[in-house]
Amino acid sequence: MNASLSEKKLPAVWAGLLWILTALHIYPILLVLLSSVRTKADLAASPFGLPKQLTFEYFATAFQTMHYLRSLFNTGLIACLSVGLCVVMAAMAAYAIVRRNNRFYRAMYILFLAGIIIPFQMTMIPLYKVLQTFELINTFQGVIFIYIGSLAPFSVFLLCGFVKGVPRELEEAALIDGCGRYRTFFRIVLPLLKPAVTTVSVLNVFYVWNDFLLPMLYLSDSKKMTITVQLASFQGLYFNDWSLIFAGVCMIVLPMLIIYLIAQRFIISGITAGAVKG
Amino acid sequence: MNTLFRNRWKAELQWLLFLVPALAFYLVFILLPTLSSTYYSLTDWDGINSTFVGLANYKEMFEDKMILASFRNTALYTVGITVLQNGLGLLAALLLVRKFRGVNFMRTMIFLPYIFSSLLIGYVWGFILEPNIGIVNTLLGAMGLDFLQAGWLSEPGIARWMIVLITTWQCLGYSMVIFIAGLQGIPQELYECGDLEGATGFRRFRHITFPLIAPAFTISVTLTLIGDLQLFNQIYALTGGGPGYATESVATIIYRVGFGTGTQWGYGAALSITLFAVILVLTVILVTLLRRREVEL
Repeated sequence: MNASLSEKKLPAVWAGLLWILTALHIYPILLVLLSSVRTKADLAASPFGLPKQLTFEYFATAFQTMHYLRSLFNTGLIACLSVGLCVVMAAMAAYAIVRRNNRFYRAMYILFLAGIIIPFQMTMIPLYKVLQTFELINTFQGVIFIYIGSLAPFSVFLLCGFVKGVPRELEEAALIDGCGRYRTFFRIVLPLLKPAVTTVSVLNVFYVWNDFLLPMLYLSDSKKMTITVQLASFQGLYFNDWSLIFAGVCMIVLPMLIIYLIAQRFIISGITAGAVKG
Repeated sequence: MNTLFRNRWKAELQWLLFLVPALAFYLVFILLPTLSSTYYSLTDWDGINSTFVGLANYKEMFEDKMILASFRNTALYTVGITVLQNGLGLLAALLLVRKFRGVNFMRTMIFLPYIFSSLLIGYVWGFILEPNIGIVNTLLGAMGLDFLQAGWLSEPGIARWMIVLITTWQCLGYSMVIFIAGLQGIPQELYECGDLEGATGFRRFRHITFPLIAPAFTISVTLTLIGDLQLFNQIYALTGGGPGYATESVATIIYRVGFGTGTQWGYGAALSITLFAVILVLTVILVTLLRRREVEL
């Protein structure tokens, strides 16, 4: 009898159930794709059939209604700046926390960890006041700063785990050669952390891209709206125009789908960090 | 002596500067607002005027039917989703950790919805469950099962479970991926030992597999729990908290009192403090329990 879990043959019943589960996960995605290229009448007549004729009219309409290029740019700008800045700062903080490892830095680590369980709803109301004080309401900076703050806890948590795996010897050699702390970090440690930094960045980009409440509250200026907020606002107006909504959904999801296909490995490694005892 | 002292301080300062940037953003934009919430929760603040009212907001909360309903709903959502998502995620992982044709495809497809915004997922399922042209009711009608047709998102009792099921559907792959990593980390020899001792089937799972994926279990259950207690997007997109306030969660009710129907910011702050306290206590209890299980091994 074979002992291995992974080499045992799967009984047909389980395989069948798995295919049903997979189908349940494919169907809604197919539905969105198919519905977005069908006319309204066609969709209403047979919502779960195949399209009779293809139309890209809804993509064109959604492109205009969502101000696609502008809101795509807005979202991209916010995501890149907040994630880029946050990950570098978090890597620096994680480096100090792991290398110093005294009482103060351990306390700071716990302080960061506490941030993981703070619900956004808790900061949502006072943040309005904070942004008013700094005159950051309706500005990209305001939203970016909040993202840096709210992404920091999880990023520090993940990066601390990765910094522990960086050998000290290389840094010590550099320090002895007269390299300063900062140069040692940016020239030696950060390049070694590249896979970790990529992982954390990708996870954070998904978070920012999919977030909706924060930009809805603090970036209500129609010229600065992010892509998901645009969709949510026209979803309210064209409530039953499903083809249009689905065309919009496709256009929001497309960039993330591309990143997912390219960076799948990094996403999985970020999600599973800590799942296996090291 | 003096230079030595100065050098040490200089080194300490340098280390501190590594910590400060991230810490500053976190302090100003997350911790400071969190702490000021505590103060605001004791005031009657509408965004402009505020008066100190002591614990009045907290007292009001426990008499407010809408708030009590939102806490009950949040309990249902949290328990329902955490149990289903981790249970089904574990089952899927146990099956998909094996090698057979199509396994990578299955894993990818089951995980895929997790990367999309739960708001968009909400819209899509809103269409599927739509009472008149939605797929579910149409299909039931076509099969002659009209009596099973329902207002999936308009009847409170059903709508709450739809929120649970749709969130489970979306996040199942997340738990599955964590469990697969945990399962792959189990050394093969242990199963061989188990085989010699006659541990097969469920006993093997109970005594070898399950204890050894304890770290994966801790992470998946804890993060699911924290996320579910703050459930917002799904509800916003699927039911908007309705009908009435029948499907509101605590997170959506805070939005409702703060930005939706009014600007009761003091009241909203009191609610958010209560939500935070609940999350904190539950997380600490859960992590302590699960970690103890890990250590016992």
